[in-house]
Amino acid sequence: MMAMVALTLVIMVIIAGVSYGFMRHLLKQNVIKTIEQTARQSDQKLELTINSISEEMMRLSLNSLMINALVDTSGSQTYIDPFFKSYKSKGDIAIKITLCDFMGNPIASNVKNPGTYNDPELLRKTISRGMNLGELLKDNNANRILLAYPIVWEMTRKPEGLLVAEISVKELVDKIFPATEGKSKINLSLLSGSRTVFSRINNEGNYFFKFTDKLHLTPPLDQLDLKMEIADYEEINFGWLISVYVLAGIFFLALTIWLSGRLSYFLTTHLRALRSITQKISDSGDLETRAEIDGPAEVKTLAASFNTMIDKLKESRDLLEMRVEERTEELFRVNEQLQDELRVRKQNEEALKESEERFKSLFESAPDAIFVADIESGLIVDANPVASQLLLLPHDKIVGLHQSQLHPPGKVEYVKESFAAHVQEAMGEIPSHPIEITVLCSNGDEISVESMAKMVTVKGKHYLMGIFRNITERKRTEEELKKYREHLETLVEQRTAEALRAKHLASIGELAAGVAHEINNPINSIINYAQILKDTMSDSSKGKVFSDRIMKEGNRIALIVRSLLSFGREIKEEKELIHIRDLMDEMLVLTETQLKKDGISLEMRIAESLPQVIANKQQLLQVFFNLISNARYALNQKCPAMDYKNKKIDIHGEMIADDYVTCARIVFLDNGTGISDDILDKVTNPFFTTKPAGLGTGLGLSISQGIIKGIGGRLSLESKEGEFTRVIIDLPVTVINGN
Amino acid sequence: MRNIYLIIFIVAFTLTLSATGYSSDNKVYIGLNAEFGHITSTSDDAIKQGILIAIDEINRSGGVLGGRKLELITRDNRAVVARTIQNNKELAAMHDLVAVFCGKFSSAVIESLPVIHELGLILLDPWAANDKVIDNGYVPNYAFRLSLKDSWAIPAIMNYAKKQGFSKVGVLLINTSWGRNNLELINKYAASNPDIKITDIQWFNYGDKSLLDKYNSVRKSGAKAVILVAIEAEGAMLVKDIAGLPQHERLPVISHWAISGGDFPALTGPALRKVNIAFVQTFNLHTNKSDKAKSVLATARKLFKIKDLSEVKSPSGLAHAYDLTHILARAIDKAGTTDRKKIRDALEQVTKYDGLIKFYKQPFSSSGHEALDPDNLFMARYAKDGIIEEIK
Repeated sequence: MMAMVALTLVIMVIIAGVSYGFMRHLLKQNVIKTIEQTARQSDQKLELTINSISEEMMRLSLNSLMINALVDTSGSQTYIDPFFKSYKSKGDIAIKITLCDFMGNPIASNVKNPGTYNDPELLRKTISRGMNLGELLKDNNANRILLAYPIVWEMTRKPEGLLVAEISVKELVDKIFPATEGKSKINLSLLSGSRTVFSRINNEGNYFFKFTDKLHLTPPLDQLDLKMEIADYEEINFGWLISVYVLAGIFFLALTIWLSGRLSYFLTTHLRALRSITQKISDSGDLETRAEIDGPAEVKTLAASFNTMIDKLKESRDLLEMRVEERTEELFRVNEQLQDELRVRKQNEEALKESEERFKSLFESAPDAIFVADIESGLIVDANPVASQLLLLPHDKIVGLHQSQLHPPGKVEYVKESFAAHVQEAMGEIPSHPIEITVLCSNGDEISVESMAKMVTVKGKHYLMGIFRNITERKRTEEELKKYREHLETLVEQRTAEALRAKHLASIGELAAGVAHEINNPINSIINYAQILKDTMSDSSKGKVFSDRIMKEGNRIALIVRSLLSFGREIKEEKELIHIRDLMDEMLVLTETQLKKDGISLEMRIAESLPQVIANKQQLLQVFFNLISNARYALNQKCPAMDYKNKKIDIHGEMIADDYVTCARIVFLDNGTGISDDILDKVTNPFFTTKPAGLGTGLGLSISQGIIKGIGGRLSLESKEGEFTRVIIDLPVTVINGN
Repeated sequence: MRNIYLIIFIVAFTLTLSATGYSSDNKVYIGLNAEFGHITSTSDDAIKQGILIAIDEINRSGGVLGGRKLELITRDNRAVVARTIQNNKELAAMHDLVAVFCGKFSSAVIESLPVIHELGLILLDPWAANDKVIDNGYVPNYAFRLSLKDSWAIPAIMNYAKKQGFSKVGVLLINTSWGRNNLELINKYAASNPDIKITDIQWFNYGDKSLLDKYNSVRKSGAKAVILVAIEAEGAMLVKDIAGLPQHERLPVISHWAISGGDFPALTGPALRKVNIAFVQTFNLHTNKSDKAKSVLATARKLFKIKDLSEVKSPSGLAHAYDLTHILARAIDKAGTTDRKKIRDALEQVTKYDGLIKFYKQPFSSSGHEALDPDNLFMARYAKDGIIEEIK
């Protein structure tokens, strides 16, 4: 009952809504049509007015007064200004009229001070083109229509000036459509393209109606592209229509509800009886119940049919229950079978997966490169990460290569032969022996590898698995060891020879010391006797001079002998305080004669203040002697003849000090052959010599450097081949100015 | 590289000279700012021819200032005031341009006077007749005229009318300052000559399509003749309007000389023979048989390839410009410079020039910038062959 009422209500509301919308639409269209008609009339009125103004201005431009005024500007006050001022436009619309010359400058106007135009170039272009101009100007927030008409003189057949008319858009529209304050609900706008040039808003809000129409204007006004827009916000009052619909709706609804109630009650009396029986059957499931209804024939037939339906239903239910029982048992069995199969398959899959993972892990973590190739095609089907590292190729680049491409082209045949034999072994049961082959990296390097092969079968297909071990590093190490062994053997040979030479020198030293000792005593006797001889002579005796000379030469022999003794003496590791200058004097005694003989001049400048150093005197003497010897050799090489002027050795000593170190510096400079740059850093190496065999051992500078280093000093060399060699010795200072 | 520097120097030097307006050919320039774009005017061409003939003679005689050649530079003002002023400004800016000749249109010339004096540009007037061109009130006055002036032309016209027995005349005038100047003079003449009466005055504009209604107004006022102040275009329009009328309605026309500023016979066609029209003139090239005239004609034939004298339209303009150019050349030499102020002063000091029109004892002085005088005027008409002939 309620559903029926609700349905009726919904249908009524829909019908009412649709009919209301339709009625409202009809009424609204009627109103719009009326407004649109009015708007079009307004449009036409505006079009007519503007067009007539334009036509009037064009006529004015053709007036002979215009060209006359251009030829005779002095007449502006006489006739042209009065003419303009007396001009009345149609519709009494205020128009500023100006006559301009060819430069766009005003000559005459109907206003007192026409002023100049903001854009005279526009006017000049209009004149030069000889075309009428329509333009919208905006200044001081006021929009003006500017119309310009070139004035062509028949005598020159060219535009000589311009008639310019300016109309305020607001004044124009206000004049045609006077504002009716508060009375009109219509909004009026004038647009040029998308730009609003005039707008009169009487009402804000959503448009009820909007009408836009392009104004059909004659040239040059058509250049303005003017459109008029009329909009109305006022909503049509449809309140009365709604009231009628509401009242009618309420009435028909109430009537329908009442009638429906009565009718449904009447119609459902027997059906309710049948429903109670049905309810009973459904609640209790008792299919033995039967409908016993007395009523019209249709109702009786319905009851009989109902009873038959109950019988059929009972029969069907029994059959269905039996079949359900059978099927349930069958399904249970099948289900159990499936569960068993599923369990077995899962176990197999897990075992297979574990096996695969193990194999994959072994394959990928193997320390050697592994390639798997199809034994029939020779194409590589898989490779492990170490294989990628070996070939410097990504996995996807390796897969698909022919196995022969793994090797340098020149060695492919050799590899093929070696590998074929190897594969023969691999095909057998006995494990193959590793072979050494070469593989080609992607960067072109050739790497030696030790290779083993093994045939594997997967799903009945045969593959050859090659295991490549990089032996490059091992081979390089072997090579280095071989070279080092050879070097050591050479060194041993050299050192043995040197030891023999040193022993020979020591023998000579001992011999020299013995000779010196034997000479020393007679020399002392000679000196003593010379002194006695001198004492016996008078002061004026010439013999006294000879005695002095004998003593001097004798002392000199004694000094040489002492030096030989000290050189030949066994080197002791004792260190003592040494004055460099004294040591240098001692060294010179031994070398001076030889230098003079070779024509070498020697200059020595050792500062008095040069501090003492702690060193083994014998060793330091050996260093100085070596350096003088080397300098002498270099000078003689450069200039074998005696030449004091060009063969020089300069020795000077000074103290150098900075914030950290104070040392005594002794510099040996000679202008001999010098040392070339390429061997300068090698001359202090043991056994390095440039002297011919037999003239040098190559140990002099090496021993000297060792001695200087041994006392905490530094020996360095500077040289320029063919010009000089400078040996610098810095020795740590022990005593400075007695401190 | 040195050649590149040389080229750069030459280009820069040339540009510098161009920028300063200095001409490397060391010429002295004369300007002509006239109505070349006006389709019926021939006075502009006549003035140009007169100047070019004189320049040719002067240059052949060694030029001015010890050997500098004269050269003409023209500008078209189309008879419009604004263009005339603009042209004068441009010409004044040119270096070594000593003076500017004007054309026929007095209004354009008068409106240019403030600019002329502001820029110190010498204005040489071979045609424009308005008195105010010279009587302009500027001191010093840069305007010089070798032409007739309205205050001489109007008495000559009115005397002719009177002599012809026209006691009543109507006036048709162009609505310009030139027309107004002439009306003043006509009224002045009438005021002092009561035996001639002005019956009607009608104004017309440049650009009017017909003068018939104005003519009829004059005719209906009882006038026996029409005094016309117009140039050739409007004058021809009137003649054709009158020629279209019955014989008895055709009044004689006595015109100012500006109708001869165009090819009037060509503009009027057969109508000219139907209307009795006389006009004032200063010089008749066709009847002048002097050696000077022969020489000028010979040069004109050489320069402009003319075959016949009738091809020289507006001969007065040619003669005025010719004499004025020679006087200017003498003034330049006298000044010894192209400085316009000094040339202006020298123009007032030129003496004894035997010109084409007459012998000028002293064409200009500090008190007078009119080279001609009323005695040079005569009345003329167009003969059947279109040649201007003096009315004896």
